[in-house]
Amino acid sequence: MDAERIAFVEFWARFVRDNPPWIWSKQQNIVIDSQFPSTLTREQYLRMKREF
Amino acid sequence: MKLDRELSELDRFVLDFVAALGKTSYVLVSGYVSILFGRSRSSEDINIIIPVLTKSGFLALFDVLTAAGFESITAGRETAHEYISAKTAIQFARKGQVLPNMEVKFATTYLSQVALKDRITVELNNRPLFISPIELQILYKQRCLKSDKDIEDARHLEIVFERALSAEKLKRYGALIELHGC
Repeated sequence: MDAERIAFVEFWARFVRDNPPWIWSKQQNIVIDSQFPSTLTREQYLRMKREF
Repeated sequence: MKLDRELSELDRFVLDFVAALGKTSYVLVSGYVSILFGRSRSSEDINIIIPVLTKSGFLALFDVLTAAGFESITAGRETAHEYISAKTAIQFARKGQVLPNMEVKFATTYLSQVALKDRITVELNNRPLFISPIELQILYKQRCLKSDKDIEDARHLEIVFERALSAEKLKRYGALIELHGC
């Protein structure tokens, strides 16, 4: 596993642990909501899932 | 457990879906449990486990979900019970959309039955959600799923809950995984 990546996961987890949810959730939602709405069609999505 | 946070589109989807389930028992598992508690990564599907239902029971639930604005994107009404009984997840999304979606599975494995029986309640902005015990999620991701994403999810939960994890539960669930497999 990429050491830099796990270091960031740990950094962010400590930020979440040490701060109230209304602070980290605003930042987290930028990542979460960036994938919606999706322009994928059902057929494209199911094909992608099968290939994955 | 109480959690008051700014809701994401994923949270709103989950809250609406579980509200539509009504009295059907359920437990949310896997990636969404980590995301609910702050893990910052994208996820297009949420995993949910429900008890094994008869065909008529499942079709009644299918109809309730359809009336609530959800549609199955992987199986039609007539084939859905056959699929889910064969351990193939049925995915529901809001009508006309594919993302996010809810992967619904029956509790057919021993560990999924444990997750359902031992589920814990999270009051998310005063709305209840039932999730798998955190200790079980961590172990399942570390010992069963094992992808980089799952190891990262488990590490996130270990740090966020480090002061609240139960050593007794970790031991018990670890022994169950050893005994019954994934």
